Amino acid sequence: MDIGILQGIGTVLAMAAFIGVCVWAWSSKNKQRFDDAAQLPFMNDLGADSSDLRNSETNKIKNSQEDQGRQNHE
Amino acid sequence: MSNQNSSGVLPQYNNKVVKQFAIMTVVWGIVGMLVGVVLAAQLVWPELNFGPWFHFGRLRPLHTNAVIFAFGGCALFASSYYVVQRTSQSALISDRLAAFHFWGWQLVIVAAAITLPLGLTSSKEYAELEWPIDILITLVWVCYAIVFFGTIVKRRVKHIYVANWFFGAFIIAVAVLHIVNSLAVPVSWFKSYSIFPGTIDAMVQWWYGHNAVGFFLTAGFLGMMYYFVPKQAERPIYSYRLSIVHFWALIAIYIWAGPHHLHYSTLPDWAQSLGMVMSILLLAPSWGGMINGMMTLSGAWHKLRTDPTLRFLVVSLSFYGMSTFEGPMMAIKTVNALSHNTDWTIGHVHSGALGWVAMISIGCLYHLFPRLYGKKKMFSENLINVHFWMSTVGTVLYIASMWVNGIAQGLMWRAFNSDGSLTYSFVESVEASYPGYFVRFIGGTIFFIGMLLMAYNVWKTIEDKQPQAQNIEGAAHA
Repeated sequence: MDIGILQGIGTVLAMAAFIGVCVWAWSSKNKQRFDDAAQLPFMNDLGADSSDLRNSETNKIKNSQEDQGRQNHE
Repeated sequence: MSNQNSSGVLPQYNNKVVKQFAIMTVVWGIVGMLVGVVLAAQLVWPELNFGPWFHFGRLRPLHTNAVIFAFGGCALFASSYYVVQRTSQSALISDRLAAFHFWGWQLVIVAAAITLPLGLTSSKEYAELEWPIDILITLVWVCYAIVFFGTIVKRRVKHIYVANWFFGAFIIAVAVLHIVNSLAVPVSWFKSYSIFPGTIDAMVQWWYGHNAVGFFLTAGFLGMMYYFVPKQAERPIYSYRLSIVHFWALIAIYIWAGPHHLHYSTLPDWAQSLGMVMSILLLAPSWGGMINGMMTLSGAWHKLRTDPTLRFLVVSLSFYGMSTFEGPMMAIKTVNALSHNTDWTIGHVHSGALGWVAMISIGCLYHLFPRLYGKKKMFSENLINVHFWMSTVGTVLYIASMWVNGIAQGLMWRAFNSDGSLTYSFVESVEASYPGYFVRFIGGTIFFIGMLLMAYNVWKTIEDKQPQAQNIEGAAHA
């Protein structure tokens, strides 16, 4: 195959991929999902930011599996 | 909200590694920028080149490695570990690997600080470190990837937040770039030769080099931007949908831009043209991301008046927009014929490095330190404001002087007399650069002193006995 044709196919595929991403991002089906995702930085992370607040009442409930060995950091 | 984890149990985040990297960001920022100021002084006063170890040629890679990989690296590690835990509602999967990552990376930096002044170098720009250190970097990086992606796998929310996509691309791309570009045949403990020959070696080097810019200094810091700009502005990103297109377009295009470093070289013309076209295309996703960050403030612009941390973040985006406009322009072959090998390139790099990378990192650190240490705010808001103006003025002086120098040099080098001889000797262009070098030294020094203010402010914040924040999130939303 001619190199020009290959390059043409490459360009068309790249363009199709770009349009595909745009359509996917702006489809109304995904609107709710992405609006929710945009809120992710604002999820409540009370107490988890500060080691001094580790032992507050809010944090008493612990997920034992994840916390193994985590205390000895402080 | 569907994102909230159903159990309501708050994981115990690993803040220790975030604190460690955040503090070392300040330390290495000061060290790396001090070496930069010394280099700037050496160009104004060449008498400052003492012996082989304190010579410009050996200190220069020390500066670039220190600011990119020590300062920038620590900033990225601190912020990515902070962000991935909170946006995944999950603690890091392994504290031990995270600790290995921290100490391993510090060891790499110390090894660089010892070997580079000794003249041990593979001579590849931004990849000067010799093969034993390269292997250590690879090990540390793999651990980083395991911790980061492992934490994402374990997330308690459905969606992977866009900041983590950018951090993830940064981690994967840098791993691939580092391994391919560092492939070498060792001949002794401290000497190796690249496995690639001639022009292919140059192309691999600049495929690496430009993507160090694209993935280390851009994608990683965009990850920072997508979390800390919304956080500090207290409003979600302007368009989450734009951020998705931004991500895919940016990573798909960046990887091809490297050949613009090799214009008019022995690299085949088609590769040079490809690099040029892809570099120009990069303007679109770069500005898409910049606009997305800026517009997050729409309706909240008044916050800039009172919040110097937010000012750092937003002005860093302006510098990002500026340098990502300048970059595609300089990648055009005819413009490059004027700018190549001149100080314009140095100015362009620092518009990105000081204006974008350093300023967004500084803004991110001012956001992080009070939260990491359970304080309501930084010790002094006024000092943040002073630091902001010093950084801005320092950066502007730096890049303006290098524009003047670069264009003067480019024009002088290409000036011909009617008989075909060169109008200026090279040394005449060096002489013409002297005032610009002095202004650059002043600008760099101002930026550097700002970093010292930051270190003081951070020190006092950590040490300060101000009342602990009772409810960090609540305080932010009050």
